[in-house]
Amino acid sequence: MNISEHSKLSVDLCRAIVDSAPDAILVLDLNWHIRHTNQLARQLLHYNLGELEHLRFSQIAPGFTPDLAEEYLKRLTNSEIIRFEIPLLRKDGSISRNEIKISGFKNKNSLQLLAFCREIPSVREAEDTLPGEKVLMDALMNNIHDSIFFKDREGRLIRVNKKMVQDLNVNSEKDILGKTDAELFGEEFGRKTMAIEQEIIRTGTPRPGLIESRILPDGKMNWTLTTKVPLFGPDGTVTGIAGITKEINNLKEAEGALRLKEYQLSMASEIADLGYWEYNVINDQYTFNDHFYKVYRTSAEEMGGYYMSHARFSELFLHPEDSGLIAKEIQEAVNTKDPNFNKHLEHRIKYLNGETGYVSVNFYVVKDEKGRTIKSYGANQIITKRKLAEKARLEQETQLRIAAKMAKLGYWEYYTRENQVLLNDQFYEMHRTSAKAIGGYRITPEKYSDLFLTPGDYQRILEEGKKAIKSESSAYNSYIEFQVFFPNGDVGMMGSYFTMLKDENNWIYKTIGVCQDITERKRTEMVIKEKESNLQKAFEIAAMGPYRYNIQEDQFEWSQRALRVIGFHKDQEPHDFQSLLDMVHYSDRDYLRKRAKEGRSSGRLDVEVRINIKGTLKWLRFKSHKEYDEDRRPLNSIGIVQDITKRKLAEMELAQYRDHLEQLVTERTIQLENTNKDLEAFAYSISHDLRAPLRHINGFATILRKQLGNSSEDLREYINLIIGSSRRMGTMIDGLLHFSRLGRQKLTKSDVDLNKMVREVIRNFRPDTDHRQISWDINSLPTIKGDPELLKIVFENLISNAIKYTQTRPNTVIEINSLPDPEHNCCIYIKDNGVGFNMNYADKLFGVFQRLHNEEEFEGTGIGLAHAQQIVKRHGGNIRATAEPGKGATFFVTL
Amino acid sequence: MKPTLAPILCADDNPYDIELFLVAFQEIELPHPVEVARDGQEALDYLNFEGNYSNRSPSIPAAILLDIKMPKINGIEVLKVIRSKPEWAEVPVIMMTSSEMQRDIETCYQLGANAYVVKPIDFEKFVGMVKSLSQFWSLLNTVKN
Repeated sequence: MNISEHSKLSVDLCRAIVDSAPDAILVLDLNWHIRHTNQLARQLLHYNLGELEHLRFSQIAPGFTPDLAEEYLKRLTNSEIIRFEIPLLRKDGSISRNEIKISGFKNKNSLQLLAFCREIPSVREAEDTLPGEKVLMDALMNNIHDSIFFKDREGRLIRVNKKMVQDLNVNSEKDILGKTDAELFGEEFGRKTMAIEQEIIRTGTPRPGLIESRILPDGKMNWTLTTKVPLFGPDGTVTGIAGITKEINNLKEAEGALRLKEYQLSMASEIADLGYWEYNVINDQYTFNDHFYKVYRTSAEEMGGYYMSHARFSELFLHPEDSGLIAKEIQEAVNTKDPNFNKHLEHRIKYLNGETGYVSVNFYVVKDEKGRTIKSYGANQIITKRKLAEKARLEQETQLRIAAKMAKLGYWEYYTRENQVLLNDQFYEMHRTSAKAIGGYRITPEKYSDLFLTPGDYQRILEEGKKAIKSESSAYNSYIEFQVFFPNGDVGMMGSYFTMLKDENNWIYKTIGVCQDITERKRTEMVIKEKESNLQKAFEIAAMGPYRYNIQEDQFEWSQRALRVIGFHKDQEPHDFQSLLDMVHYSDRDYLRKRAKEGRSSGRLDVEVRINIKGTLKWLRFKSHKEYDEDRRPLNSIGIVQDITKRKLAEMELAQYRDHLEQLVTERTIQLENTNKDLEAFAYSISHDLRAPLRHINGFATILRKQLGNSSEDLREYINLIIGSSRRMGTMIDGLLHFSRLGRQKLTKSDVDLNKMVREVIRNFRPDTDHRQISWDINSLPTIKGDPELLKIVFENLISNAIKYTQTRPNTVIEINSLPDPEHNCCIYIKDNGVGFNMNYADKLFGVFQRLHNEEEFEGTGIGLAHAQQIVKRHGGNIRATAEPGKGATFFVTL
Repeated sequence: MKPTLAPILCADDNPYDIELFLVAFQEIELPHPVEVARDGQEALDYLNFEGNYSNRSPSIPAAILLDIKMPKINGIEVLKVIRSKPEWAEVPVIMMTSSEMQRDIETCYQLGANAYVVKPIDFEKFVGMVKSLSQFWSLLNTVKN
């Protein structure tokens, strides 16, 4: 903006613009008098309309010197825009830091100035002031005549000033930084001061005027007066403490004494809960001090000052039953003629929250020259604790005696001065003895210990006395359990509640207690504990934990163990069914919902689902049953949850293996089928190619024999051998082919009546057996499932063997029967009285082309039994034989 | 002179088997003339009047013995050709093999073979077989006529 541009603007227009501008604007004349302001400017500086006008700019900007005014004006006439930062004084005296931009404009031939003010944000202000404050702080720290220190939460020095370094007689601050009072001034002193510091940190309240004394290395006593305040971090927590320590050794003696007394009084007041008050008789008004209010658990702030009428005080704080008493006492104090009147009384008060307390009051009167009481003053001390303790003690003592009597508890009292324990009959009874046996109801604790206790337990009981002395309470209550050796040699456990009573000198004058035999309870506890621990162990091992589900309220309660097993995040455990469902893997949710629904009707749930914990899937098994209330309404589901991830993984792995195995089997089957085909082709080709030459040998030998006619007997014999051999080889090849084919042939099963089959086979053998004497002993045979054609081959082979190997017997007996077989359907045996065989060779019996007899004795190819065995095996059965040479053989077929 | 009977065509690649067949035919005093084809191709030539048989008499054989396992063109292929010609459709065809094969049996009967025979090793049985066959085909031809 420059002057010429604005010269044409009217004053009104200018004002309108100024008023509606988004910045705080001051219009100034060339003498830096404020001529006009807008609303924002007045707001910024907290002035009302018209109050800023005619003030000089320097009056609201104290740092604006005449030199600056002159310089800026010069620059403004050169159409320059001036920009500077300056604190502006608000009406209330507070400071607003501003960035000011000033430009000039011409109004009716006279130059005016337009100042735009923008407040600098407080952060920047703080940034700006912080270094300044630090300098100030450093200067202060190093020039002040008192020791200043800062400590962290652990009471370690983190910053100290020069004076502190000097006072502590060390070379540099490095020697003391990081150290605690205990390290610097010794354990005893340190413990005291650090306790105070911890209290400040804990409560966040400052502790002014701590008087500390410590003995300097030169033996002199060093008195210090220290004020410690908590340091708060930005989040409001106490980050440490700051302190200032003044040596008060060098203060003028009187002054020192006075201060000391003042502080001591203050301290004492605080410690003893003493509250001071004055009562002005003339205007019926109390004056209280802070301590007084503290005694009544309130403050001057809350009560609206230090003054209060008697009526109000009475209404607010006096116990209704005691207010009459107080009024009477006041009246007495007013009426007394005695200038040294002093009265001590104890009465009940009521706190603002309605609780009752006890105070002890000690008060005096002040008389005027005419002897009238104008004032009374006194100190109140809170004695609630003492009063309550006394009351409780009285009650307790009576209650204990009654209780002991009623519950047949062992009762004991110990009188310290006499060092005697007084016991009752129950006590003795409990110890499996009697007063008579021990020698009366009075006994020293040492004797009791000798008779019944272990030294360790006795020591523990004595320790309790020390604890009682340390305790602030006038009646120390405790409970102790100890082992007892009974006179009969048994060992038991006793539990004793007791109260140690102390007098005002903290002297335990009496201890009273009741004793209970807890042997059984302890034993049960042990058993339960053991059981529990076993259960816990079991849970641990099985990675399971119990839980409870409140059906009515839809709330889960997880045991610690369950939480651990499942591995829920803290605060992430599901509290109701829906939140559990939300954590369940989405594809398992419908399943869980369905099973839970079923569980509601059946009362039982056993479900395995996947659950998402911390981004990983876990398999969990929930197993629960319902609990009902008396009205058979479902109450809870009690269950265990088990992490079955490992099992599931193993199962999945197994399934994979199974799949793999199936695949492998398929592959193998295909391979096997291929091999079978190959084998078939091979067997065919063998048989085909071997049979052809055999046929030729046989054929031409036969032709040759024919042509030889009867001429050469010897040659004919040889030719016969050739023909026989070729025939035999042909049979073997056929058998082999048949055998190989059989292994690959599919079974076509149906019901097979073995009776029928066996008789048919025997009938077929008639041509061979007609001339023989064979007695067949055939019993009832079962009907079984099998391939009839193949089974027929089995029986053909076995029966033909039986016929064959009995041919040398004049009377052949062949028995065919069945045996019950528990594992299989049946066991059929074929028994003959033939030549039998040596069992040593039994393993060769079923081999292909294996023979136990030579060809000359019994003809055969040696493939029949191999055949039979193959068929039986393909039916899932087995075949075996027993025999003895010369006595026959028995073949057992189990199917 | 008796009228010339229709020939028997015997196709086998094995000369020893041919020899045995011929001996067997003698033994049973087979009245038919015998035509021998040494493999599948020759059998087809005979059927189609080709090659060595381009000038043969036009008579249709009384029966055809076909060895299954022959080089180049096997018996089953020859059987197919035979059954594809209407004029040969009713000629008795006996398929011969050294060793029984289930698959072949089925194929042969499906293609219209009249018999499937395993050549016995024992020559006496072999002769018996040939005798039965000749009776078998004369029966077939009698029925046909």
